[in-house]
Amino acid sequence: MKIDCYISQGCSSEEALKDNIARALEAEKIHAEVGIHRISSEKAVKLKLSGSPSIFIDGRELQPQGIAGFS
Amino acid sequence: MFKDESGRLVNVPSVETLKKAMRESDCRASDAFDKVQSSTKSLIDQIGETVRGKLAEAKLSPSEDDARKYILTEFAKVGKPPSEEAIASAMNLLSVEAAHRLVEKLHKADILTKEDDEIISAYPFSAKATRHKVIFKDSHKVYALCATDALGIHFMLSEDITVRSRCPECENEMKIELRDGKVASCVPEGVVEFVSSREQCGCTAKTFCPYMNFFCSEAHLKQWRDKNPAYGKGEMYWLHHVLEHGKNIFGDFLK
Repeated sequence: MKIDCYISQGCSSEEALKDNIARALEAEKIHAEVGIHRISSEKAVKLKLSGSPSIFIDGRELQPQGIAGFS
Repeated sequence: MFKDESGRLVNVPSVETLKKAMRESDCRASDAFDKVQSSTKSLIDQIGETVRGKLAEAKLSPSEDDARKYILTEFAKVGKPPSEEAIASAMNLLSVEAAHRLVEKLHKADILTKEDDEIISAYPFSAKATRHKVIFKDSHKVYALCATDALGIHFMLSEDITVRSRCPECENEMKIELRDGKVASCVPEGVVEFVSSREQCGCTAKTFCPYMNFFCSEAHLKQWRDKNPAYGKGEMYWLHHVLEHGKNIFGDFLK
């Protein structure tokens, strides 16, 4: 499994997010490659991300928010 | 913002939300894998091709292939592999070191496996006890790496054999007698093989083989799959299919 997390430069959610992902993986006994990507607003627009953090599990976005705004 | 399980908005997804998403993704991957399996080749056919493919990829010279056959023949005779000294002597090699290099080549090609510098298996045989005991007419026995390998030994050696294997669910023994390319008897009736698709990477003997087992019945297989969800994805085969696969994989393994 591959999990990609895109986080804006100023977002303070990284630690909490990493912790929750680790706990979920452990509970489900799933091995995953987890990528934490700190990206700029410009890049977020390019990637069409809707929020920070934006999380993709095997390429599928978790709860896509459909709202523009990455901060 | 994310919604948690009670509908509250939170900055990061909760552990429960993540667990649910991970489970769903895992199921999608498994379903996709199962669909690929059903629309193309069976899992066991793919494993068979991998085993045979590794042999082809190794590009063994005629003398190296003779050494491979010697190792298998000795394995069949005594249930364990020959020493490097014995290989050197039987194959007229210049030194034990030459035999060591040859064994290393076979190991790297996944034609045999080693542990602590000792050969512990060579498809279809295992030097360590497994669930699958193969008994020959003269009563000597060997262990097979997996259920398919156990039946494959009959075709590889053209010898009548009896396979005694333990059901992973109830640990009771099943007895399958093979004569002249056919199942002469099977106790209990209704034995099936299950091949788990959980492990996909690495050495076949260590990844797939431990999860290619006979079960007493479909009912016992179902119970086992329910208790072992991590290994429950895979394919079930009837005995005549296993026999066919064993023949396809090992029929000309010594020719």
